[in-house]
Amino acid sequence: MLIHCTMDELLAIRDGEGSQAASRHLDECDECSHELNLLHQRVAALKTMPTLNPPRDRWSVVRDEVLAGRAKKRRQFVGWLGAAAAASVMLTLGVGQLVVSAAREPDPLAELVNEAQSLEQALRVFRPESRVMSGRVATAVAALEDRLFALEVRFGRAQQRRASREQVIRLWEERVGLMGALVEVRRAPVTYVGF
Amino acid sequence: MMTAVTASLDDIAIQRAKAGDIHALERVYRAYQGTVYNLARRMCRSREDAEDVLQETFLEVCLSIGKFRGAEPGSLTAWIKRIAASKALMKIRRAKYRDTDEFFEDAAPAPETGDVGLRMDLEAVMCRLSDTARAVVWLHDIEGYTHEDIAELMGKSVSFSKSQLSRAHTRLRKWLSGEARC
Repeated sequence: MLIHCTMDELLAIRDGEGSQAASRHLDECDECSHELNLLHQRVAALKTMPTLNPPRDRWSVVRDEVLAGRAKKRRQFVGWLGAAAAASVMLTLGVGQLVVSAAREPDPLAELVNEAQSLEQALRVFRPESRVMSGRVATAVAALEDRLFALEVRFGRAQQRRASREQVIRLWEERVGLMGALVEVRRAPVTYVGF
Repeated sequence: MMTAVTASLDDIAIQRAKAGDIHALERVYRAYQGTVYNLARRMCRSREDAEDVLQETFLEVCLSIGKFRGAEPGSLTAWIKRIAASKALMKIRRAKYRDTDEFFEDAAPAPETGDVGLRMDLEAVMCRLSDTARAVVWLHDIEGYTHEDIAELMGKSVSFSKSQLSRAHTRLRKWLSGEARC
């Protein structure tokens, strides 16, 4: 009795995975060859189905969600930056109490803290989600923010191991440098190249 | 389709999109919205579901394109299509809980009169397949996904994907030849 190929076997043969027995049968059986042809025709017909286009433009919805997400992230970042700065001030005060002898001289640490606070105020003014940013500016902002995050981790470690005044000053100098660069990048006029 | 997409999106635009430039992201949307919607529409039952998939896909694209590392031609297309397929399958899974999709094939209304096989076109019979079966047919036979890819996307086994494809083709064969009124 002749046993025809199942659909599983026909699909396997089409995909190059068929058994030798099924392939041999296919060579000899007109009915199964016809079924395989029909399978090819169905798939060919599926491939020629017309392309369907979206009836409505959804970009405005997508864009609004993306910008809202960025604004939220930005608010969280600024809030977090403030909290981190406050924690760093506490660390600085702790170190400062150990070095009371130099109280009358200009304190570089206090100056750095003041400068960082001013820069933080300046950063709060910018609302990057409402500005058009070039790819280069966006990349630079992201890189600086990443470095600031990494720096805050180092501040945390310094606090834990009771770092020396010199080490804390170096961290503050780095922070002021990064925040200054961030302010400058955000202030930069937007220019387009390539569009 | 690929040619149009490649022509309209140069490397600079892609780099800008990866950096978060909203105008470059819009260009990505404009270049790929047709591809994504067509894939979603072929997999999902309704136009509304396909539109949701379109929106969810591009939200994901905008949020994740910075992590996209492909450099070969067509890799962005493949990446976006994979997100779209994944979102469409999630939509199908959610719909399944709503309306017991597994039984949809048996419950589909038969055509009113005449020779079933001759009158039903391919588009109509594809609509009669279950959402899962239709998605497997489309992903495997049209988009070129392997059964391993489909199994991973669906969170199922390779044999599940193979059996869905086989059952779907058996049904398509019957419906198109008019052997059965379902």
